[in-house]
Amino acid sequence: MSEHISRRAVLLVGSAKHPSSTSESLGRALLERLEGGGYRYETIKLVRALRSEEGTQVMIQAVKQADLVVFAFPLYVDTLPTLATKALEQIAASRVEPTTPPQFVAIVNCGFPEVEHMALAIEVCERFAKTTGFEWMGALALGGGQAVNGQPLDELGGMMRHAIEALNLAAEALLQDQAIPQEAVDLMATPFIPPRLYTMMGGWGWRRQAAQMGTKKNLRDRPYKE
Amino acid sequence: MQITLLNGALNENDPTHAVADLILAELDESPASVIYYPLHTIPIATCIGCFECWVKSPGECRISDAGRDIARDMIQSDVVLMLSPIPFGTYSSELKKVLDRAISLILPFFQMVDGEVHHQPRYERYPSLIGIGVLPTPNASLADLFDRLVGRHSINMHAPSHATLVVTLDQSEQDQQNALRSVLSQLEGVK
Ligand SMILES: Cc1cc2nc3c(=O)[nH]c(=O)nc-3n(C[C@H](O)[C@H](O)[C@H](O)COP(=O)(O)O)c2cc1C
Repeated sequence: MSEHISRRAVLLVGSAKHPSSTSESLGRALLERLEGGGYRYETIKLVRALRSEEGTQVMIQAVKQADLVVFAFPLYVDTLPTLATKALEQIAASRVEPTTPPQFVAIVNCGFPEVEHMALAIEVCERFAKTTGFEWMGALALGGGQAVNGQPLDELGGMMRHAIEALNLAAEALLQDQAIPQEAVDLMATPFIPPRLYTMMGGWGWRRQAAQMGTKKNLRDRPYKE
Repeated sequence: MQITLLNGALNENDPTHAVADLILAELDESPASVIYYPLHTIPIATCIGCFECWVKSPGECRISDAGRDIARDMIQSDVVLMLSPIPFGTYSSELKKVLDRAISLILPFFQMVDGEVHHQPRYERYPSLIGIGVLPTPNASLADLFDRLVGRHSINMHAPSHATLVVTLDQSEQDQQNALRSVLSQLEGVK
């Protein structure tokens, strides 16, 4: 693994949540594993970077200098959120085909328990990577992402054991310049709670939050009804 | 019939504007009333994922800008026309900034649709969604991705029907016009 000593990675976080997000937790967990194999990495939160032209240029430069780009974002309305879309648009617009294509990995998480919701977003990332001079190394998708809620993944243990194992396998493969193996994809996709239970608990969660805000009776309001 | 036309062109030089002009000319001759948003000219904040539109001020985004007005116009329309370049098969960031802000139009609660979890509707009726993608040249796989995206989006947004069309910049204006006309003529009240 000594050949990785001088390798650089950049984690692009496409979640607008501050200070922490599930996207960042997942991305960090992967990069911490790669650090052990000799990668150095920096984290760029798109919500800050894309606010200014200067920040956008910093993001573009970091991508240009990276050997590996980890693109972690939440699913918003069936595809990439605004910030993540904008990052791809900006990178593509400034891209000069490099001699050695940097590697590109996507990590997606969504609210619904099934990973099928994220298949399209992953295809978009793959199209981006393949047409913009990156080497596509695959993607990991986690359903029910709210359960992580920005906490360090390795501290969650138990319920997240499949996700942790998936990241271990993905990191092992990436350190050998191999694409993320199907086994890692499948482990990340393993539901940690049955979908019906998830929807029930989700419903309670929203009601509990509303109760705290005194809006429980208003949750079904239709402010724009004509 | 009310139509909201969202133009997701990225900037003033974006060739998507020429397609918007064709659509507007076509709709001008119909009895439909049209609300038009060239989105890159309108300051609209990005969704911050706070879910206040679900739990704190149910049905309304906490950010008071045009994103709110557009969500209102969308739900009060019969049809939402989403015109956009399709970078790598998805909606442009300019279009997406309003689509993300429009989750205020659905409920936080869940329901099963075809064996998958989705959100319940907030309103009794929803607009049909029509996606009009703009590509430099024909690209079947990007067009297919865009078509599937509009299909999934219409499930989450409870659209009673949806359609997609991809217009390419190497087509003649006449061909673009014919293609647009055939999609728009499917709309009741536009003919
Ligand atoms: C505007 C918006 C749209 C969303 N759309 C979807 C969706 O289409 N499907 C889904 O499963 N989750 C959807 N979600 C839920 C997020 O993907 C989920 O909360 C995720 O865990 C957030 O990750 P983050 O902490 O990295 O931001 C949406 C959330 C927001 C705020």
